[in-house]
Amino acid sequence: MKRFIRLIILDFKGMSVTSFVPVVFIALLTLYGSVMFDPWQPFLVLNMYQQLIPPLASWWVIMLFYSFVEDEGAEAFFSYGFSRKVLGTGRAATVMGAFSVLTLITCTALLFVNKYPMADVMKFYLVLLTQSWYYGGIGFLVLMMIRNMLWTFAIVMMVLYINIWGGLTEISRYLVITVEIGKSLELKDIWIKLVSTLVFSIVFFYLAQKRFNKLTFRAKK
Amino acid sequence: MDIIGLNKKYGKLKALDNVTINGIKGVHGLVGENGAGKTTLMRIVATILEKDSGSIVYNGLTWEEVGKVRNIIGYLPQKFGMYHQLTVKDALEHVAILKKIKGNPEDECRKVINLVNLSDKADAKVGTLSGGMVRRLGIAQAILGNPEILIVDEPTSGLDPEERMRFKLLLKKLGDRMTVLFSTHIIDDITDVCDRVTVMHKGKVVLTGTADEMIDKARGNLWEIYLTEERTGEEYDGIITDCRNIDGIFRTRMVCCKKPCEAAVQVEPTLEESYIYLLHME
Repeated sequence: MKRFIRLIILDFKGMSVTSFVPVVFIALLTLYGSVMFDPWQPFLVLNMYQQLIPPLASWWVIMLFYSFVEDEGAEAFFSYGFSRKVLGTGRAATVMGAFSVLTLITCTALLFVNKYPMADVMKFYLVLLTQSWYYGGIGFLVLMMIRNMLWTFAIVMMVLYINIWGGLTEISRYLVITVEIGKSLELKDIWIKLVSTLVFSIVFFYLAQKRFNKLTFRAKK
Repeated sequence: MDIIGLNKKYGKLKALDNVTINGIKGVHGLVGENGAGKTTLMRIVATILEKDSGSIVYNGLTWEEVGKVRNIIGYLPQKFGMYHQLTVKDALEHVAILKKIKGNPEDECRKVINLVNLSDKADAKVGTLSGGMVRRLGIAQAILGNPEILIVDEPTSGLDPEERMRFKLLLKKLGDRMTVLFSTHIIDDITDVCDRVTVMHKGKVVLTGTADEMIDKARGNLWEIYLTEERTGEEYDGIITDCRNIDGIFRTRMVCCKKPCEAAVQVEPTLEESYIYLLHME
């Protein structure tokens, strides 16, 4: 365990300044949403958070695993004796856990600064969590499939675009929880979407991990 | 280590064609032109590429047991450029954890840092190191955990003469305690470092033996002719390996299976000329 923690610390050190991107972005967004945003439009704040925060979950996942698929000399990685199952699951769980803490900070601001009711904030936290895992899973899976960091980011952005503006697509009908202006989140209205998002997230992570287990070296053309 | 009847195809291209090399120990060189199949062979031995058929055996351990093999090998690929943002110490610690090295990873890292002579750069970021130093870091990550087999793919290409010499000494030192499989296309590296060598050409093994055995093969097929300027345009059924102008007369050395002309004199081949002979005449 001690070694694994050290590994994760070194992973983040290796990412350098890019590891701070989700932290800085969420901090700025939370500051904007809680301090500067017009208090008369609370549901717009929720919509903004819900659309912009979860896609960031894919950032750390992609940055952590890209060295296996793109880095010069990644060949050496494949000759090491580590357990891919432990490394993949452990890394993914750690970064998703860290991201869950970040979103919790945003929700705490909603509770204490925006003065939203506790029950609503709790439900909203569930929405943020499941959607974050969904995007994290997409990032991990796409990276393992196409083995290209930039294209993976592009595809995550495309999914985000579909979710925000493609209101009539099947994806958004089953997975996107849009907070309606003037309405409080009711669990009975959103639980199907929460569960389906969660199921999709688990499937994405499972498939990505499976692919990571079998990932072999591929020479660049 | 024994490599027996190894085959590998990329689509229709046969990268390895029934490659057999027996009794690999000490420092064993792999030499051949670009595309000869050296890197493919290295990658298969390093377990990062799957073979189509054939087998590799080391002390009773076969390469089908990938997990066990990975515990006894160290691999330095042709291009090694990871961990730009980490310090040398941290980068090696990361590798030590990934390699599941027993004992304290920090102590192990310190040992290999000293061995590759990077102690004064232990706290420097990898991104700030010179090409030679990065290559030494590459060797350090490969020998972490004291592997029994070290696989190094063209480690000396692109290094300046001093770094190259230092690197060769290091490989020689390592060859005393582990089996080193070392590929190169620089012939001098063989004489300086390798105990035995395998010459590869178009995916096939042309010869496995010592440098002297390589020279023996070419002996009797190397000729020297002194030509006037007018005769330098003449065509011969061989490959010219050297041509020097000595006071208007051109001393020409040539690899040729038969005496190219009456004036030709048989001479002792160099290792480089033997290599040319093996690739093109054998």
